[in-house]
Amino acid sequence: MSVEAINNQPKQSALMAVLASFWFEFKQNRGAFYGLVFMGILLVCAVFADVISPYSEIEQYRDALKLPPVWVEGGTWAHIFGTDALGRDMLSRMIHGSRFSFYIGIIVIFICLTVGVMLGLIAAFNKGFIENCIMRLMDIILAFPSLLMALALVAILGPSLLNAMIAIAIVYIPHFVRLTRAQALSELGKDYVSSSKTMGASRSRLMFINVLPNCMAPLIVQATMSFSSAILDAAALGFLGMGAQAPTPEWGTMLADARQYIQSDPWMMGIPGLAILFTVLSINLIGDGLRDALDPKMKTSKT
Amino acid sequence: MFSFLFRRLLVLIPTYIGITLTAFVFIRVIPGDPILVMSGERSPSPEKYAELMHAFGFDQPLWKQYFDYVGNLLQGNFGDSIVTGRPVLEEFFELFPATVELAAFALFFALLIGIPAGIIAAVKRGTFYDHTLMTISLTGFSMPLFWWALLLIVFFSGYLGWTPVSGRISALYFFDTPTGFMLIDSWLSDEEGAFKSAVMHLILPAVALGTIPMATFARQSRSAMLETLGEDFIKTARAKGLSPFKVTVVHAFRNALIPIITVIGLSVGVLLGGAILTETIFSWPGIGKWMVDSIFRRDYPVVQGGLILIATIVIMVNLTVDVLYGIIDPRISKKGH
Amino acid sequence: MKKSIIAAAVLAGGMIMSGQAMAAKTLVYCSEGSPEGFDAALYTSGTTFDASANTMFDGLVNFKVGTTEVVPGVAESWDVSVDGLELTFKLRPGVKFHSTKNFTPTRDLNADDIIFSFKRQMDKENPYYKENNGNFGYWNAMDMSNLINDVVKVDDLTVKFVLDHPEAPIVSNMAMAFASIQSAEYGAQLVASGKLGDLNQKPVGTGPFQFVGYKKDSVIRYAKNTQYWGEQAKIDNLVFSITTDASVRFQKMKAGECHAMPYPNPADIADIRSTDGINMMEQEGLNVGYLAYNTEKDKFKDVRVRKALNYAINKDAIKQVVFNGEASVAKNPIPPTIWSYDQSTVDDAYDVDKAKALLKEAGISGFKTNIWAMPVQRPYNPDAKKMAELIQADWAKIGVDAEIVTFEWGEYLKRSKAGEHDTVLLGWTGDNGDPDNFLRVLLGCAAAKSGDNRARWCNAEFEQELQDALLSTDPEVRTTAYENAQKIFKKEAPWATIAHSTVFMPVSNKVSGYKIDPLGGHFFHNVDLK
Repeated sequence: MSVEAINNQPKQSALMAVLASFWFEFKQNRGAFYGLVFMGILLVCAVFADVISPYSEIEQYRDALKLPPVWVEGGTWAHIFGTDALGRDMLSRMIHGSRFSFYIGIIVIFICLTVGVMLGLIAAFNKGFIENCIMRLMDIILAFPSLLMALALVAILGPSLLNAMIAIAIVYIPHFVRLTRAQALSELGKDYVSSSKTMGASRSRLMFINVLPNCMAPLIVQATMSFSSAILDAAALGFLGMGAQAPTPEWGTMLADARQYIQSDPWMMGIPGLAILFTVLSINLIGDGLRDALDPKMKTSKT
Repeated sequence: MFSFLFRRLLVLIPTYIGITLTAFVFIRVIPGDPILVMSGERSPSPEKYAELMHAFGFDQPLWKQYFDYVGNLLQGNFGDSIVTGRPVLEEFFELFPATVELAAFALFFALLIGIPAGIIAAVKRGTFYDHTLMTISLTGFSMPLFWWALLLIVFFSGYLGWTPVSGRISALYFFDTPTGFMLIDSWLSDEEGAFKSAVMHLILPAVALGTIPMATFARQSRSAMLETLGEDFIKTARAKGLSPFKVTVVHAFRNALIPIITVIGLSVGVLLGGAILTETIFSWPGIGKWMVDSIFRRDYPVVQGGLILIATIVIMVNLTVDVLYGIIDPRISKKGH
Repeated sequence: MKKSIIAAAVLAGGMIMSGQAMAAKTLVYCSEGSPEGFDAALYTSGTTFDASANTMFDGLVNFKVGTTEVVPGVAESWDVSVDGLELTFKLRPGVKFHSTKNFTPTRDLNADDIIFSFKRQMDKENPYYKENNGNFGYWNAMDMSNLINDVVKVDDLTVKFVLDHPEAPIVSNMAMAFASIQSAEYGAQLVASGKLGDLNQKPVGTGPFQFVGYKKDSVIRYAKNTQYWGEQAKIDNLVFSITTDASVRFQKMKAGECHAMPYPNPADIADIRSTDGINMMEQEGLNVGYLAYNTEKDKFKDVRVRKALNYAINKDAIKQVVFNGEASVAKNPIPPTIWSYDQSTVDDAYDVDKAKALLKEAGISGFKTNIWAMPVQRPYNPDAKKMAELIQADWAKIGVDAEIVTFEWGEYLKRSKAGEHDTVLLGWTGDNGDPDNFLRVLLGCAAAKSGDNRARWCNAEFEQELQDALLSTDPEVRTTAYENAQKIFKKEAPWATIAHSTVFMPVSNKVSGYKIDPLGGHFFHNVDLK
């Protein structure tokens, strides 16, 4: 075999071994497994929404207003989950709405993982004035209750789902900054870092190639939790009127719209609420599973 | 200890300046102004509007408005609400006890249920009890708060009729409230049924608000207990023949306190945030609702003052937690931050 | 003498609390929001008026409850000069201001009080003007400073208003909340003690109820004014229990925690009607909900386009979905209950083909536009977002692609006033029962300039009719002018008139005598409790 082949082989199988053992531990956790299954189904719904959903999510069926779900008296199989106040099919809206849950989570954690981690690394590597500035800024954001902060931010930017996501991300960033910084600081004290430094590694190499990968584990868990919190916070902002706007079938907005019908047509609030509940629950279960599976590597960190 | 405290306080100064700046800039940067909001569909003529803007001082450059504001702040003057005309501080202290009462009882509920649940789950790790308790608490953690609150109202107040629907006490009562805490004031008022009414009104909102912290405490105390239970000194205690109860409660729990206290401190922020939604739904007259209304009304002094006061409280709580932390675990205070 | 009466009232109130069998009646009204203050002149919101002017104050004249008819208030009679420039009121003798915890009047009401109530809103040197930065909502909105030149004392019981130009509705305006009569003596006392803010926090009026206290965002308490000059209230205590969520209000009614509530959810109306113990009162509201076309924008300059869009809107669907069927489709910009309403108007009926044909005739195949929808519930529109969604779907059928735009309420009003919209949903509730209050405020040329006229439409003939009606005091002349105006409006279609909502008031059947106010206020002084 060539030298390269010899060099490559152990790395690959080492990586595979790590992944395999991780998967084994993860699967052990039944809750996490079911959570993953549910999210998988949801992902399929989100991606193939146009194909799967029986009707358009914005088409108003004016002669089928406020139909209850099929298991309630008055419901029909034509609209399994019933229809809303404008006659739109609930099942179709729920399926399309799953997309927004993913948008919200993905965009929020994308912003947090890029901006938050960068700031955390910069703070860890630049002790002194820069670090102080960054950490004080984070303290300021953390001093205000997150929902209030997010509300004010959305009021500034204008009510829309995208602005709600940006606002939520800004409010979450301090947690990522703190976590990254703490992890990076503890890594910085380790031998492999000082030996890299002695060998003349540049700062950016140190930051991204040496230190960052070892910080990933708690960050992944934090990201998972933030994914689910973002969905809840987006729903709360929607409830206050500052989230997605009509006719977007985002679940949180659907909840807010259905509030006035809570006594007359309770399923309009019940179904999106349950959907949010199961989605967030699944993600949290996955997060727990991740945390447990990554545990040996996380012994030193406390999230 | 004192140098630790002193250092922490010193760090607070630039943070505080940042807070006042943020609070000020925030509300000013939001488009819209209080005059137009107040006039609604019946707005003044452009000339009159300009006159009003000038009278309120809103046409001055922002930096000047900021410095005037800070100058007043340093004298303890938070300004007057544009809408009601009352001093912001006065309104804050009228409403704050309601939020504290709600948050305190939510916290109490969360601790009462959450911590024992977590301990039991830890002790019975891996069993049916563990899984059930953790799944229930995770569910509590995963619900939209306002949805849960509305559900509770519809079921317990609407369907069962066990609890009153909203407010702090029956509207038929009207007595002096020297402390602002309805439980204390209703007791002091000596009016028949007042205390009971106050208690009944507090139950549902406290449960709704406390559900999420309860879940957090359950999970946190479980993992803290698990870590502690795995430590050597526990094995020693068991080997020494101490009763399981003593091992669990006396030794393990004491050590698990640190992360638990941290979480309690962090939950203050969650409670204040959750109070916003809970107060809106239960018509609970606290600062959460006041802040939201004021943001929508662009009541600048209220939003600025309210944000600063709330941030101050959060910082003070964090500081207290840090100090407590330092007392329980002296290693931390000596090491510094 | 006065003090013992008060003591007796307080004792009676105290005895209810201790559960003794004293027949003191306390009515609990679950209101929809907190009052901004108690000095009605400073504000424009109905919620604030309910808590201040409608309980504790009188004007020179008042509206007869349940109507827009003007009846004597603290003035017994009035008289307009021939040239319409002088309005003289003769005051009723023996009207007493409230005695409260921090004020005891030493005299009855006289001309000084009238002068104080108005001068503080117009005189820039008045301490109360300065205290409030001149921010008197209605006074400014109605441009009163350009109408009222002076308020003059003729004698102790006679006051004269000197007007700049004649305006027919001026007497009706005196019944509005901003014209509530304040005590000059109280005002002076507060200036002396440096507590001007108390005029707004600890109100003193002449009305059927007087102020006991306010727990912010929670409860307002009033007690019967036993010295009222008019018919005394039948209930002893009035409580406003502030409950912002409509579903929660309904639940409190069901649980017996409130005797009356405003603004139920349209979705709950059927449920409320069928609930035992609750009487659902309803009346057509003196309001209009509309969609205004910004006629300054090119795409809406052609009347055929506006008409086409009107034909494309399915108003019955809107009535069903948004109002739950509880509204009347609007064909005129004023509601049917107002005098001079033109019955003969033919509405733009729902006709998609006609709409398409008209667009084609105008040479337009399809275009993009936006529909502004407000984020808050208003009496004339309980759910603008849904309304916008319905209209969006309707217009899509004729090739018009509309985007729904919303801002927060304050921002919404500001930007639509500046004319940033293509089309905007808004509405109006009448202030005084006069058509001028609708037509000139919402569709006049001056309003087009200021932006209150969201269609930014200025039509010379329409304007002329309005001016003729404004200056005349002859009801026939005015009626004809307004009818002509409505005809012009229908032809030019600057709006799509959507609906006049029905005002609902769930009231416990223990309550008798409640009358719905067409102007949207809530009054309890003629109400009795079993």
